[in-house]
Amino acid sequence: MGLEQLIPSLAGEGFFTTQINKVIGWARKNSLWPYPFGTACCAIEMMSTLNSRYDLSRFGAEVIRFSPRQSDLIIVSGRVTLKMMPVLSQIYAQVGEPKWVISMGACASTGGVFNTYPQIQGVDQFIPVDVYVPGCPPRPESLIDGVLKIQQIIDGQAERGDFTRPTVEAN
Amino acid sequence: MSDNKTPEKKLPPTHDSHELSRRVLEEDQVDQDQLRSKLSGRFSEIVTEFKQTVICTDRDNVIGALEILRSDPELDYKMITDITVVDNMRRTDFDPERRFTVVHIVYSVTHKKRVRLETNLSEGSPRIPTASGVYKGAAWIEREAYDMFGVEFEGHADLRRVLMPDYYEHFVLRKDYPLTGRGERDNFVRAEEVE
Repeated sequence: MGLEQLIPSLAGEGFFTTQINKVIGWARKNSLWPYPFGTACCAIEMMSTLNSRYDLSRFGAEVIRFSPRQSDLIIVSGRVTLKMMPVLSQIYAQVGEPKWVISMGACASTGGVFNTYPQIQGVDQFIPVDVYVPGCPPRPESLIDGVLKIQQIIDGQAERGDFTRPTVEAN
Repeated sequence: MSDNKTPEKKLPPTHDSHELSRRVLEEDQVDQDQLRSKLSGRFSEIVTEFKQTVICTDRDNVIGALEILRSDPELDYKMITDITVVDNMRRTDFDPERRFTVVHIVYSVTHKKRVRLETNLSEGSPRIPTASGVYKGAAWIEREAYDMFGVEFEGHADLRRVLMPDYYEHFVLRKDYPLTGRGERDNFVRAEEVE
């Protein structure tokens, strides 16, 4: 940083210097490809977020991929039942590193009002979650805030030069 | 102040908000004497509960009664609306011989009439012959009833669970099964530990 000011021949030529990690982090945070794990009404709000009124593409996260191989951000939006949890775990395992997870809404985060036999009481018991978006369902603004929080996390990872997921202690 | 009068509001034509419920009530007005003569020997009693006609029968006669209800042109109950089960376990007058009540609801599209058949099953052997021989669509509904209550439908071609996973050990809508389950929902492996 600031190297271009020390080398007179580069000054005024439109160059600037930075760290490779920061360039990679900048690219990653502005081209998040979400995998929509939409299972309930939160998915409707997620669709609304992607539409032109709220326009998630302003933050570079509009390229919805329905293949986990092509995505790096899972948005778990909706109830996850005990029949669906193995599917979610497998999809999480199929997403290539680096990957991030948003748990959207009360049901995905805590089970919500469904304290019943098939309802997973928070997907964070079984997959690591980076950002929890509160609400039932959350408004599109909340989800946008969640994506911005993911971008902050990526910024921090770029700052440390470490994109591996911080190990979460198993409970 | 001027003597401006507010123009008289024109009300919309009266809307009969009870029309639908009245029509439903009419569908439940069934000629019970006709049923008694047609189904003779196939039922224990025909009663009126909540303005609806209920044919109480047993598991030896329920399929015969359904066959008559479906094939007799004067009855013509061609459509099976639902097959469901009631668990009587929490009732004050509970009797293990009447633990489950299987309810068949049939509807006549031509006559616009509806009746309900009730069959009591004991706790020891919750078994009833399948209605899928009479109504083809009954096969799906019986699978759900089996999944939730564990009532076995004898003669069913493919009696498997529908909603719960195949490995599930309990029948979840029985009254002795707790609402929050027996820990099945917490028994998964963390994704990081699978690798």
